[in-house]
Amino acid sequence: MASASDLQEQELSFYQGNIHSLIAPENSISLILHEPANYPSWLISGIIQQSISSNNECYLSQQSPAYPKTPSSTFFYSFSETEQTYSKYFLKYITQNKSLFQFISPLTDSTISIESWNKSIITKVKETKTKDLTPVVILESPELLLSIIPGLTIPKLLTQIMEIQKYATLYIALSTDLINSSELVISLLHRSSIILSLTSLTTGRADDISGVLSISKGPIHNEDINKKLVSFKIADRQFVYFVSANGYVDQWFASVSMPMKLIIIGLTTVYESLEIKSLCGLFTNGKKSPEQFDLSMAFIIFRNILEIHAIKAMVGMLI
Amino acid sequence: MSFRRRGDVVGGRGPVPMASNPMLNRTAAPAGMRTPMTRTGIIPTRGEGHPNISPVSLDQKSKEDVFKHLGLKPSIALSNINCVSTGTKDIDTILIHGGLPVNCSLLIEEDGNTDFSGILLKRYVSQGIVQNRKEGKIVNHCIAVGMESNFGNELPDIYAGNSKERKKKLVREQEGKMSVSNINAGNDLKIAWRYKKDPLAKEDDSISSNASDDSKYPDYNHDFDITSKITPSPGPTEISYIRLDGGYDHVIFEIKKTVERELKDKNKMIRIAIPYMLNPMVYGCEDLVEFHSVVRFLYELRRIINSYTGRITLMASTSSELFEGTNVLCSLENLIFDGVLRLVPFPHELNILMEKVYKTQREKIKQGYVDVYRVPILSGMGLMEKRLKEYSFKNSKSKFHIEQWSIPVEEEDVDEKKNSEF
Repeated sequence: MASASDLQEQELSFYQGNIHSLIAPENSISLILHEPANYPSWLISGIIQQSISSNNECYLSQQSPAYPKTPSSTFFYSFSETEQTYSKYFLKYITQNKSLFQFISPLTDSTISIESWNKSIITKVKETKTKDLTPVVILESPELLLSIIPGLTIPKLLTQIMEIQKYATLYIALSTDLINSSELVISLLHRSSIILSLTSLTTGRADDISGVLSISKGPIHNEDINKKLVSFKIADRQFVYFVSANGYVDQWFASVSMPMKLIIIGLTTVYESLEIKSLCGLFTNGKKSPEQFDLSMAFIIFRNILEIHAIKAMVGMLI
Repeated sequence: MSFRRRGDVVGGRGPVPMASNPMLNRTAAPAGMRTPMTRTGIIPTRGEGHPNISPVSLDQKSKEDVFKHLGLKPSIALSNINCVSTGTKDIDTILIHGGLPVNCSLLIEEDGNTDFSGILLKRYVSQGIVQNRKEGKIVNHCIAVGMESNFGNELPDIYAGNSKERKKKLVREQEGKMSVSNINAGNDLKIAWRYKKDPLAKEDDSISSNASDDSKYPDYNHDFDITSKITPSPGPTEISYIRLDGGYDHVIFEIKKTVERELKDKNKMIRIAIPYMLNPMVYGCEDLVEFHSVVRFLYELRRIINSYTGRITLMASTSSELFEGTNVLCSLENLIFDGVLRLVPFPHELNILMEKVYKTQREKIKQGYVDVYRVPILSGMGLMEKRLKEYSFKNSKSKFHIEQWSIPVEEEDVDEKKNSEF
């Protein structure tokens, strides 16, 4: 039987005891991984809504208290979707401070130069960044750039992403099913402070549930990034959610998110023990540049070892 | 007994369950109003920003500047989105919108050595050509990538019906002509219209919900007879063939040129067809199937499609067997195409079983599964629309029939066993 405390859990929140439930700390990377059939547009729309809101409004956590907050400029770069996909959510939920939000897609805007995509983002972000306020940048399907821009390699793309991270709070949405970008996913996984994964139900398609959202802690600790924001404690949990064609989204608390958490802890432990932390790009302070070594080669060499160690670590923890 | 108003939508009892249809009575959305964003992507606030976006201007625009096209119909699932028919009614239905939304692309994958997807592509092109003929002027221009003029000569024509239907049509035509006997017949109907059993009306009822839609958009889609050919064959004003000889850069250049030329006419729409995409017979085995160049080509194509709001659609077919588990197919499915369907012919054992079970009901024998991987726009919105082994298809002379799949049950064996026990 559902109790009042259960109802509290219906509110979607990435962080424990934090009123800005979906907004990540400054200059951090939040990774949104999704399966091909579970696109995160509803989640991204909620993040945008809260980011530009001046009273902490978010349609995914409607019962959270209205709290005055400074709205952040938000830039959403989608390389795979057009405005058509998001129009329902934007019309419905992006109602406050619209001028602070920009949706940019090279698919619809022929004036955008794809080759210099990150420079245009940085220019815009720099224009809006103030001492107290860091803009939010959301990138959707940046893995497409590896094919679209001739000669772009994963280390180069990572450098470009890290460059944006210096000036913005970064959310990156990636598909997990792409074979060629698995190295990119792993690289970003180890630079993220929070990992949000959207998966289908293991039992298959259902009429009343669209999928499962798992919230897990990433290997990067927020206090490492910004000493002021030690209170960002990630709420490891899972939600089942349902998206309808009219733009309404329901989510229900399912359980504490164990599998992803274990994998991340396992991998982090192994990385630390092998002392390849710097090699594998855990260098958010900017001390090392990913171009100093070939990340992709490093991962090809170590991936197999890591997987074995991660499984061992997981098994050990379960026992 | 219940009564419905004439305009109300009756729940479909067709082979494929239709989505609820609250927006069927909407008028077609004007071209150019589908996106709530400006070109730079800034959402305008109410009463400010881009003039195309504010609700007031939308209303004004819908009254003044509605893009009318006989091949357009509003989406069943989403407001302000128009669709074109794929040329196959049941494919339109499983795409949930009732067609392929404008500025969207659809990929038909096919397992095995069959060529059902090739037929679907021909129907898609034929639909555009037939609408030209119905309208009496060129309202659709088709672009066939990688094909030559033979492709246009093989396009199917409208299905004229079986002999009975053709006779009925003739009778109806005769009745439409003015004559003394017809006038008398008309009076007769007027007097006893409530009581007279009208076989034609009854027949229309049996077609159920589709009928009201068909009457509203009579030339939106048609049935095609795949054994017939459109005569006369479409000429260069109706279809352009773009060869792959000069590589993808050349293809993109040619498509851009054709699109710019054709869309100068504000009444035209464009249908781009890419049959047998990446098939070694057409594309060879080298540069044209290289992963990055394929993705770059299709991405550029998507940019072209999206640069003309409400005017272009794309449909492609490819063999999933040739590229199963490769980067190319994963990218096409996940990032490039808005809609993805896969035709999977039944394994031989299942064909044998169906032959056995449906000995006396041959029409129930299906040819394969239709798997839905991605539905345009709705999947991108986060709706879980991946449906595997839920639908089956059967291709016949006049129809590509899709219905919900159910496993055939061998009832005869059970009866035989019972008999043997006694």
